[in-house]
Amino acid sequence: MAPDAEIIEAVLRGDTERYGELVERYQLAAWKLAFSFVGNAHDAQELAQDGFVQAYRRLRQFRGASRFSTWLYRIIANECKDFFRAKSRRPGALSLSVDNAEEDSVPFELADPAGDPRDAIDAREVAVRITRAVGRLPMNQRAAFVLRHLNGLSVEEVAEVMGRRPGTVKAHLFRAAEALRGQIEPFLKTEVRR
Amino acid sequence: MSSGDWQGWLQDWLKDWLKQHPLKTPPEGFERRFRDDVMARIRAEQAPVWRLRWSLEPRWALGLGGALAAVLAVAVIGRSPTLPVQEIEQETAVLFEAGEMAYLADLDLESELREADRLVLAEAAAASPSSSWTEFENDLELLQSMEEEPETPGAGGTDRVTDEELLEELRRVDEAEMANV
Repeated sequence: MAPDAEIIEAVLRGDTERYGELVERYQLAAWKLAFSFVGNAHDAQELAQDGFVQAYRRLRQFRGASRFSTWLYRIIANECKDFFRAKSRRPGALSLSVDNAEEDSVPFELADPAGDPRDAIDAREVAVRITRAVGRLPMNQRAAFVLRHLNGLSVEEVAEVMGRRPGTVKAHLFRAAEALRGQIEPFLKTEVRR
Repeated sequence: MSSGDWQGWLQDWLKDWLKQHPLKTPPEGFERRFRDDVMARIRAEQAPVWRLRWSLEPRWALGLGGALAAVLAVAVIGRSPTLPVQEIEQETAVLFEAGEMAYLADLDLESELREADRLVLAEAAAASPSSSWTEFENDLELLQSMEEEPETPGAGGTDRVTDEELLEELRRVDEAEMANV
């Protein structure tokens, strides 16, 4: 498997088709990142694809100071922020702030055919609560939470993607966790009691 | 449970919960379609620049349309006072027979008029305000395309943060947010 830098160099020399290798390599992660922001498959696909096209257009500006994936995630995260800014002008259009979160509108896998049905109900309840809580977060806190917890990036990677210092990211994560606590604590208490 | 404990506990709890209930996966056939769609858009970027810009930027179409309209208007206005070639030729023939305008005898009037029209058209295009607007848009677009998506420098530090550091950072974030408000 060719390193990213080698592919980028080839693309910049005019071998455009090799960009497809980068797309294949990161398309799933890019989709998941966009999906964790917007919560629906269609918008996630569009935003992730837009991110790849933007990255291609700006490829000459990529100097390799960070990994290509981090740079790509940053572009996609900004696409998602712009998407929310545009959507916020149309009330009720935010996928992650739905009040009557149906199973389709939570971004997590809930079905576990082998599991206890009571667990499935609990999982749905928790998924709805997490979805609501995240949907209500200010954009910086939401981005930090989504990147760190839903996409599993380290604090340093989140800081690179968000263009903030790690300390600032930790502060956003702290605030996000506090907001989430209010949403899921009552449910967790009943879970502990059982 | 203190805030610090809660943070660590929540992180572990979320990690476990997401193992059982991960983020949803993309629809079937996603990988092939996704790559094909992206590459199709990128190949379209390789198309001649004028075609790309025309499709991406309606202002270009409006600008070009405006310039053409201006050129046509100048051409029509410039030509309207003139007489059809045949009429001019008839009149000059009369004058020539009357002994006047003998110097017109060797003149190819039709080609001279065509040449004059060409000059009018060329001057009109050069003087059109739409053409300079188009150039400005071109420069603007170039500048926009050069706008960099900055790569952030590598960040130091670890996941661990002391209470003092966190309080200081929270204060700083709050101040920044207040300033933005």
